[in-house]
This record gives sequence, structure tokens and C-alpha cells, in this order.
Amino acid sequence: MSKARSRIAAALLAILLAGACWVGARFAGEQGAAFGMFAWLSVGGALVCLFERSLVRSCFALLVTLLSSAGLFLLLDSDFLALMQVLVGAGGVLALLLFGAMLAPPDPTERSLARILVALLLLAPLCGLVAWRCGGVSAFRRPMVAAKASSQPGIAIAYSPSRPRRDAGRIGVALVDPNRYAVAFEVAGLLLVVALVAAHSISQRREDAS
Amino acid sequence: MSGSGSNAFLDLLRALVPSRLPDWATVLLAAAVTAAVAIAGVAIHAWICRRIEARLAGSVSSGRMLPSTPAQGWAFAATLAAIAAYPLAPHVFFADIELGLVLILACLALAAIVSDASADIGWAILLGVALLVPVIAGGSLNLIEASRLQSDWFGMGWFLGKSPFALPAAILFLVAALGWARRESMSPIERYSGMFLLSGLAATFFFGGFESPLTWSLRRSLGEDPGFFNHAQLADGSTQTRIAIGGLMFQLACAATLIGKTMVGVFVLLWLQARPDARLHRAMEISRRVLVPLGPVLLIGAALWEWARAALWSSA
Repeated sequence: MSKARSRIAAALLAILLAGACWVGARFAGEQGAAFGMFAWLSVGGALVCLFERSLVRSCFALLVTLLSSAGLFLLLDSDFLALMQVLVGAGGVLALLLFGAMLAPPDPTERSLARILVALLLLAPLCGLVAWRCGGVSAFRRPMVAAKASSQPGIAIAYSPSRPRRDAGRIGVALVDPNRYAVAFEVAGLLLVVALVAAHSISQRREDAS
Repeated sequence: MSGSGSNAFLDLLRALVPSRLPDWATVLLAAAVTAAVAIAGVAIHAWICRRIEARLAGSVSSGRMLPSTPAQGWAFAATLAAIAAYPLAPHVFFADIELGLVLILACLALAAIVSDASADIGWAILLGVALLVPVIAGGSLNLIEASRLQSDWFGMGWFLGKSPFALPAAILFLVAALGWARRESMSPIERYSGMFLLSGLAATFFFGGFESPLTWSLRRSLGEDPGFFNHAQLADGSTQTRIAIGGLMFQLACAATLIGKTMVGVFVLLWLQARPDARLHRAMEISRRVLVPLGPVLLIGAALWEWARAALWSSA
């Protein structure tokens, strides 16, 4: 019964994925299709992550969400952010979660429908605020311009590859510029060092005790 | 797509196919060509690796090649994604990503985490620390650009010789790559393609990438960055493109150089793993104890070296 239900859910998610791609393609060409795919994958991954019973499976659904948000960053021309999302967001956070899932005792009540719905209701205003402030629609607006520019029926152009832009250098300079993010960067680094030292000392204490 | 992370096959198809084809069809065609090239390369490479391994072990190889569990499948997919940043030639690449090194390391670490969460992820950190030394020396994380920076000294201006800290970093990288390849719970094809990527990184960031005396001499006669096409302006104002044989030769020479260096690295990795003696394991344990603390020291030393060089250069 539950297997059939999960299959129906998977088929539904796939159909909705195709629909999201189609809508995106209608709005903004190939970039719109990619946007629809990544947007739906991040939402669908989050939904599966919430409603899936198996902890490991929902971790993997979270992986899909994090990776497709990296894809969204890529569509917005932010390579650096996308790669950091893969490295830190997906790699680091997922490793931590899987460790936690392996070490922590399972809690069958944590995934009850009522709890999930309450959490979603609490989160909804926050999501709305973020969407309103950041203007999620602009993600649609920009690719439309790009698609128009690139879809000219071109004559054969001489091929020379376009060099990648240099964002990482500017981000690095901004991070060490005392007028911009140097203090925040140092504070974050200090926090990580404190966490590392704390983890080390805790593991040392365990070793001493045993 | 935008300028960053462009796909050479898409650009090539746009230049070659008749303009009547709609743009989305060209994009789909480029995606198919990219996938076909990547999958064919991975398959051929895995076959070669298996032959080498069988020859080294003195037996006939058997056993399954493809992932056998879903987790292994995910891990192999992550490894395949990393191949996007591996350039075939200066003008032929899957995606020219500014942070190609970061992409490859991120995807390999992700593959390690996905296939088993208890995996020793420390190897991935060591790989990154070792590669940061030539990155400090050169100043680029892009694989094509990094190999371009090593084109002086008759094509032998490799980062290995440019900084005194690069040689220990290369040894550290070798140890970390061996440790990475020794992980269990990997499907063989993932292991082979991961080894290819790692030794490709080593070839690019320590051993000169595309650059060799051969490409240096070709560059002497053909110009700084010879491409595929010559762009001719005709008398009536229209333009005509012709395939440039010299540029094609140069791209082929670059591809042969990089793939040759990469395959030498893969052979070294396979050979070291096939040695039956347990001394390798002990040597790796010792070198891990010595080299792991050495990694940050190497980083600081490389940074100080670059700073001192820049200071001396500007004062001279």
C-alpha cells in the first residue's frame, strides 16, 4: 500500500517537474526551462524531505534541494556561490546530517503530519517576506532578455571561446577589505576555529573517560 | 548561455550548423554531443584502466564495473559532474568554469560523502591543501588559465619548478590521492574516473597542463592562442570562416599533452596500488602523520615566498 502510494507520489512529482519545465520554457526559452526545473526540484526535494519516513532518504532529498539551489545560483551567473553551495551546503551539511542520523536514536513522532503542517504554517510568512523582498520574479525577467539576445538567427561566427568572468577575485578582495566584509569574515573564521577546538576537546575528553 | 561556464561544443555547433536550425535544437544537440563525448571517454578510460590493472596483477580482470547500489550510483553521478571542469584542449572543453578546481574537488568530496558517510573525508581536505600551493603560485583556479600560466621557459615553466614548496605539495597530493583511491564502497568505474580527474588536476597544477616544448614551438609559429577558425572578410562585406589547420594541430597537441600527462599519473596510481607489499600502507601512514601537519606550513611558506618574490621584483 505504502509502496504504491510512494510510486504515485513520485509520478506526480515527475509530472509536475515536466510542467514546471514547460511553463519556464514558455516564459523564457531554454533558461526559463532550466529555471523551472531547478525551482521545482528544490521545492519538490524539500517536500520529499519533509514527508519521507526514512531518515536517509529524506537526507538525500535535502541533497537534491541544495544542489538545485546551486543550479539556481548558476542561472543567476553566480558561479562562486553555486560552487560554495555544492562544497559547503551540500557536502558539509549533508555529511553532518548523515552522521547525526547514524548516531542519533530515531524519533518516530518527529515526522507526524500535524507537526509538519504547523512548521510550514509558521514558515510561510517568512518565505513570503523573503520572496517579496528579494523579488523572486527577477529570476524570470533576466533570462528573457538573454534569450532574446541569443536567439538571433546567426550567421556562422568565428569560434573563439569566451573566457570566464573573474568574480572570485573580486569576492576575495571584498572579504579582506576592512571597509566591507573583513570583520564579518574574521568573526566567522573565529567561530569556526572555536567550533573545531571544542570538537577536538570533547573527543579528547571522551578518550580520557574510556 | 552566459559567458561564464560556456560549453565549447555548443559554440562549435553554433558556428558550424546551418542557421535554419532553431536555437533550442542546437542546445539539445550540444548537450547530446557533450554527454556522448564524456560517456565515451569514461568508458574507454575505464577499459584501459582495467587492462592495466589486470596486467599489473598478472591475472584476468573480472567483476562488475558499474555501480551496484543506489548510493554508488549517486556517487558516480557526482563524479561524472566533476568531469565538466576537465578541459580537453584550450578551445575544447565541456564547461570553462572560473573555479574548475573547486568544482572537481567539491564533486569528489560529495561522491565520497554520498557513497558512505563514514568515509575518510580528510583525504579531500588534504587534496585541497596540496593544490592550494600551486594556486598561490599561479593565481588561478581555472584549469585552462592555470596551464596557460606555465607556458614560459620553453613550455617547461611548470609550477613544480616555480615555487620551492610545490614539490612537497605534489608528494602530499600523491599520498592524498592514494588514500582517496583506497576507499572501499566505490564502484570501479567511479574509482577509475576519480583517479583520472585527480591526476588531471595534478598534471594541470603541478606538471604544466597543456604546456610542453611541443606546444611551445607550435605557439612560436602560430601565435599566442591559435584557434580552429580563420575569419575572413570578403570583398562584398560578408564574412567567411575557414578551418585553420595550424590551430587544429595546436589544439590536438595540447589535448595529447594533457591526456598523456594524466594517463602517466593514472598509471602511477594504479601501479602503486597494485604493489602487494604492505610497506606502502606503512609509508602512507607515516607520510600522513608527517605531511598533514606539513600542509598548512607549506601553504604559509608558499604565500610568504610569493610575497617575497613580488616585493623583490618591484624593488628591482
